[in-house]
Amino acid sequence: MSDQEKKQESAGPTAAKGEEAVPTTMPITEAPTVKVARPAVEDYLAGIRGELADLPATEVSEILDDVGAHLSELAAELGEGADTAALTARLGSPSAYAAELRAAAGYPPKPAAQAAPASSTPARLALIGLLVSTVGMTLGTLAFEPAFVLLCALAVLLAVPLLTRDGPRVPSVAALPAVQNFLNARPKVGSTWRSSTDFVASLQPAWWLLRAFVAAGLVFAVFGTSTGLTAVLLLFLVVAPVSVLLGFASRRDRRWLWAVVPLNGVAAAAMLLVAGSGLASPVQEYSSPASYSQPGLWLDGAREIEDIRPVDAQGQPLSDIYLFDQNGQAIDVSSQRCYEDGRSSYAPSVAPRPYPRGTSQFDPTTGECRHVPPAPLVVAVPQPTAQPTATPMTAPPSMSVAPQPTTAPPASGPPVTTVKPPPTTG
Amino acid sequence: MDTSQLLKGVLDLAVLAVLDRGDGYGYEVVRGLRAAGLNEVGDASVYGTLRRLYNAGLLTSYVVPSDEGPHRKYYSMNAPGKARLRETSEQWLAFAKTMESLVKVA
Repeated sequence: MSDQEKKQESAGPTAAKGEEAVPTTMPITEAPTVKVARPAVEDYLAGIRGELADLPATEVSEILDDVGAHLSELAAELGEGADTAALTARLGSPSAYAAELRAAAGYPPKPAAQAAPASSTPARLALIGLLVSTVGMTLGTLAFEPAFVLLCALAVLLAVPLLTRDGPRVPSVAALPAVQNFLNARPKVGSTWRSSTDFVASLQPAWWLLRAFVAAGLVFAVFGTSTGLTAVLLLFLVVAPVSVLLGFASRRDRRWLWAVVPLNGVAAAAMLLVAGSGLASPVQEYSSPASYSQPGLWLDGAREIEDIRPVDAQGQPLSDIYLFDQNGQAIDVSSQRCYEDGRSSYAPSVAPRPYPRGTSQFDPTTGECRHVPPAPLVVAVPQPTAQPTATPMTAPPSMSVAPQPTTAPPASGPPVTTVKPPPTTG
Repeated sequence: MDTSQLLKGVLDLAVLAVLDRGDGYGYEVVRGLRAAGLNEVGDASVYGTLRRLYNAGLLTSYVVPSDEGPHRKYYSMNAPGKARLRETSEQWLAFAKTMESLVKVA
């Protein structure tokens, strides 16, 4: 027996050398993997996959290739009764099967229980990275926040530990319960829903072209100075083959999804933005403050001054007042427009009149503007603190001590010629 | 002693001997062993052994598409595998002879 044992032990060290010595070995990983349809077989396989999760991914997929073929053949032998219980009765539990396989194949025994959840952590991280980057980049694009989009793009890096060692089908992510539940929630084959979702899925190549066009447009929107359609179309001719290749690549190798899905989100968000602005742009132009000047006199652009009620320092209302600005131009408050409940009309254009003038009101019965004379108004006059400034105003006789022409400008200001408008009968 | 315990030491030889008759995929090897009377050999043990022999460079493999299910991965012995089979079977025969005489005496 000792000779035999020596042989067994020596099989290990020769392994690496032996592999190199077999260049004629066919590349098995490129063979098409036909999915077995039986759910019991899938369940059993998933169980074994979980038990072998600590082994190198290529080795695991080779094993699962063998075992999957075996299981489906076994299931075919068992016929209709091939459920998980029947498979377990024939082969033992998936964990027992995996343990036996490990022992026979010379793999190290399965790491202790604490290592099992740890092995699914990279898969979880990868899934979280994919979700965060996709949702974040989509929302960031919608909100027009390039910095946020770039930040969320970094979330994809969470998947790097997994993607560097997992196979093209990313089996450890596919084995996650959340992903399994999602896949099982798909409509059953043959149902009406499934045929419509299949139809939508068949439109995928059209989406590949569409997103290429969006990408070309985005490049010009972000970097380009000219956004001519010709330039976008030229870039599209370059981007479209890349997008289609990427589409086929991600069908073959699911690891591409970590790059493609977040970018798809950005493209979809950009399309939504373009579609949204296309609908909103006529309204925007109309309400743009730059292209629309408000008639009448406005205070801080927010409060319309409809009339001016001059009072003297004692609060006594003054009448027949004309107001001029710093250039001697008459200040006219009339917007010539009156509103009520969204209806409006134009007051007849009149020459400037002295203040107070009264206001213009919309008359619902006639549909025209009606003149409302100034009503009595009590205002609080601020008490002047510097008394002497008011004194010369209230003591006209003192003016005669130092006679000045009434047209003379104040000493501090530049000469301004005011023109009194002719009185009108409006 | 359980036969499965005895099998462990000679499963490599048994699998190589089955593949020496012709290339086969995993389940074929299992059936070949069963047909030869090794009923207690576990399916998983056979698959594990195949993987180990393959990784040791004693087997090559190729894939044959199948109409009714997943493709089948056939294992085939190469020159190092044949050499190993010769070597191990000689050891086994000598060992068995020794055991036989020992057991007969007892």
